Amino acid sequence: MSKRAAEPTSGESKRLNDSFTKEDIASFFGPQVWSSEFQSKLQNDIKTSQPFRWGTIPELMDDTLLRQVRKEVLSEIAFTKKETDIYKVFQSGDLANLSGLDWDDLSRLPSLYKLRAAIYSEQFRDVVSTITGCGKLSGVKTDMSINTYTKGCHLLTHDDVIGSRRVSFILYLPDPDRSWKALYGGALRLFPAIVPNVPKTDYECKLVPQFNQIALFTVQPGLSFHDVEEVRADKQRLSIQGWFHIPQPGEEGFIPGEQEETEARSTLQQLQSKELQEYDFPKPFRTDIPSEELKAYEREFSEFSQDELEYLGTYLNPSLLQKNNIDQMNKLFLDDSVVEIREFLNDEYATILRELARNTELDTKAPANSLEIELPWKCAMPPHKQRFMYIDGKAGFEYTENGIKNYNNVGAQEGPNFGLVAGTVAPESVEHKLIGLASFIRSIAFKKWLKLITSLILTSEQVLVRRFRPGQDFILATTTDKQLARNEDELNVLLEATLNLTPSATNPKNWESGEFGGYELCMALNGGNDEDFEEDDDPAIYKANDPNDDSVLFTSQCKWNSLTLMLRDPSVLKFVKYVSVNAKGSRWDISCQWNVKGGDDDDDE
Amino acid sequence: MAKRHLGLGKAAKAKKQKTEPDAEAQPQASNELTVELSEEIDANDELGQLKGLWNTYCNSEKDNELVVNGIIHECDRLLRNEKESSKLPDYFHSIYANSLAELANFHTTDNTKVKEFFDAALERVDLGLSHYEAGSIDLLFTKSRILIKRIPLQHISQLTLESKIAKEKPSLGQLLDEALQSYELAEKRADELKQYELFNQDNLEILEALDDVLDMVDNFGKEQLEGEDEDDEDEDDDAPELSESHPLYSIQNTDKYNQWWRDHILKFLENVDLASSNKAVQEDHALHPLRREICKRIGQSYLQESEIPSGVFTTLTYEDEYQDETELEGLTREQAQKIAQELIQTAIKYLEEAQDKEDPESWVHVAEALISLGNLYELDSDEQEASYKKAEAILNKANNVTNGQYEEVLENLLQS
Repeated sequence: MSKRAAEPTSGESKRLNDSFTKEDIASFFGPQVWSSEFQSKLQNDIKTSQPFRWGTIPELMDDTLLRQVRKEVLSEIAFTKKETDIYKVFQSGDLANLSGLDWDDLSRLPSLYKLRAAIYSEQFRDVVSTITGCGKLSGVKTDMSINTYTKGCHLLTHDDVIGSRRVSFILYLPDPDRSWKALYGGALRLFPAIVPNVPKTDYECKLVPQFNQIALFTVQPGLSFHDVEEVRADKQRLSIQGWFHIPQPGEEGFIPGEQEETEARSTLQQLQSKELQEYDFPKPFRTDIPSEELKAYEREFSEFSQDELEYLGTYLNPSLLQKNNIDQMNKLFLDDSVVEIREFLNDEYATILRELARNTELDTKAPANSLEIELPWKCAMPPHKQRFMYIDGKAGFEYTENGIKNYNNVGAQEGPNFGLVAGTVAPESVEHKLIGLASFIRSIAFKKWLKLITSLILTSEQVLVRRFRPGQDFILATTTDKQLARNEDELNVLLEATLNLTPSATNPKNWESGEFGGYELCMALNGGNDEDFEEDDDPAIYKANDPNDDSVLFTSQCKWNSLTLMLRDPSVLKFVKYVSVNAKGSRWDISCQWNVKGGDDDDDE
Repeated sequence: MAKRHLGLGKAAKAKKQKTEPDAEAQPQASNELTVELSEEIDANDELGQLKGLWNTYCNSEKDNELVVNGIIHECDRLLRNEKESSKLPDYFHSIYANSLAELANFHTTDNTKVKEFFDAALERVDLGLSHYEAGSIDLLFTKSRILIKRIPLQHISQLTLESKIAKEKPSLGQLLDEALQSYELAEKRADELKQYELFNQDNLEILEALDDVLDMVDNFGKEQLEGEDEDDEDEDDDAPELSESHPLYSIQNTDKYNQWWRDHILKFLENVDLASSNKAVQEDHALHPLRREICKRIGQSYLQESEIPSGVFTTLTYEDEYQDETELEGLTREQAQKIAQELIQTAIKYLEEAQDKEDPESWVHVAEALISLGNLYELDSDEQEASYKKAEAILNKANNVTNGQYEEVLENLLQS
């Protein structure tokens, strides 16, 4: 689990006004809620539910009351769009926002006031305790927020584990007079775990929400992974979402020390989840460049041999081999630590590659889950950190606990070999062309070219061909290790390259606005101080496309045939935004990382 | 570590520390505008720069009044410097007039101002035209554009359902006729000169604007659905009927303008083809997107025209309560079927020409028309099956590339 609250902020309020009688509260709900037969059936359903303990009640509330709530919310509450690497959603404002929702003053919202009283009433809390078997719940610590998911909104996989949360619930309020169809998106999807803290790539269970339906589950550290599928239609999926917490002092069921213990457990769980990298694929493993090969880069040179030029010319745009252009790119890179090179591949290679990639998109369905992905492609995991297709030039493995253990700890450890992998795919396929490029990037001639552009000597390397499919793929914000230099010669930075090869980006309108995601974004962690950042910070909150937000260091929308070289230090957070299901195609790229040391002429100061 | 290899994060921090004091020392003047022009424009070519400025504005969000004012000032200046305004090219007058008319967009709540801007714009365009006895294609198009644009902003915006034709004012039908007349003169002049370059995206907007006006008139008085689910199709309320004395009545109750629109967009397409025949034909020819756009609109207009006969056919064929009727809207079942089939076949022809390999939506338009066509054949006939099958193949392909965006259309087809 990432180290921040996945959930949008929510307002908490003081003690509820208990001016409602038991009869009032009972009348706020649909009648079947109070039937013991109904409750025991639900209890049994939840006990046997998969992939973790959860349940749902249709027609939870009194229909008229909930329609009133919906009306009030839509007319009285202002929603603001919030977007980070993990979600895009419209939220009701919090306490600080005057135009938003003040949970302490619901006088303008009498029906919402009733709803909250009903949800946190003792009667209903007892029902929730009974059906989930979770123990007593707090009536004073209320915790709700109102969100609306419109076209493009989503919330990626997370487990809701924070603080003293005991039960999560979502009450859905889409248009009461129309059924919400599966193809509108916006479903709640539940993920099984491979082992605790590691969700499987594919969801197991999907709830298409209807008006007045509630979904609830006990917050189970390391297990209760779920997401909100992107809403793809131009519809509003309004929901009230919140938590029941463990009993507070003075409440029935209060156990001294339980809150602290639960909070400590959830913090520990988050840490464990962060540490648990055994199940991360692809791994950030760079293979060392042999010392014999290194000599080719350590030697001083300013020109290429005829053979080298010929080889480079089969891939590169010829102007990138001209001395004046190389000098110019070198200067830009040294000044800014980043340089973007358009029209990187020559016309011939680029035209064929684009045609192949675009035809693949047009003629074949993108794999809809990890099981449909075939070698040489693999699926990046786990999905609370990343999901995308990649080719790393290595053998495949099974995405199970045993398969992964075997691959990590027992089986043969082989380095990437793109040349061999190329032999496993059809010569006229997009894969063949992409693998060819990956081989080219690992060539001596190209690494010499990189030295001229960056004044750096590459000491280790990793090259990945990647595809981010619409409606599925992303990488959440991550930093590199704090210690990158492995010896005195190496710099404490990585050289990273992204060769963006998104074929649908030849029409800039398809991606430029950022609306469909797929962009790569770099942010400064704590203003560039990598030493002591707060664990609770949510550094990935940024204002998309806001030029005045100086925590954003670099953004790159999907492009065709554009190479970005970047020198990345440990203070840089980087992510690839989830690609919208409505995007015009996949994001394709080749992503590379190298450990580096300075060229001979600028050793340590 | 060498200074120059700090890395992106640290380098940004170092830069920030260095530059922050400077940023305060030089506050940016807030009312100063910088407009970037394409590099190809010669710095000594004032008219070229004006054209570049206007094009840049047209390609922007068109939300900056200051830029429009700037363009007008520049026109004023050029006009003052040029003693004989007849020496200024027609596009100069055209830009001047268009910018004046553009100002109306920023003052829609003040009808007096709106009128002033349009009057000034028309005066400018007529002055320009006075230098061209035989007419200038550019200026004639501009005049037509301004006259059409004026109708909603200056006139329709002032109307209510209760409005009556006022004697002292020209009827809106007359105003519209005047606009179309100027368009026809531009068309005629292009034929005379065999110059078709101005049948471009920019001037296609005139036909689009006319289409919008006709739409507005058709739906006048219809309540706009506020809030969510605006896109829902099931609430197809009819607009209230207008009285015969209403200023929009004459436009609403004639087919003349729709026919004019169809005739002239067909002619527009012909002229685009004439313009491109002068140039080497290439796959990514710049005119292709324009051509596709025109074909799409033509196709859609035939589909729209087919709605009434299609409705007659399906009602007479499938609805029990009409089993004893032989005619609806003056058409028999067979007449309606034949007319609707022909119209949809024509629509499909154009929609196929509008297809873009890169744009699945353009294929889906064809599929949807094929489904409509299938509906017009006898139930379970070979023709119907063939039509549905073609549509299904297209929808499957479109669903592949869009991750199932058209599942619903496909599902409905498979259920029927």
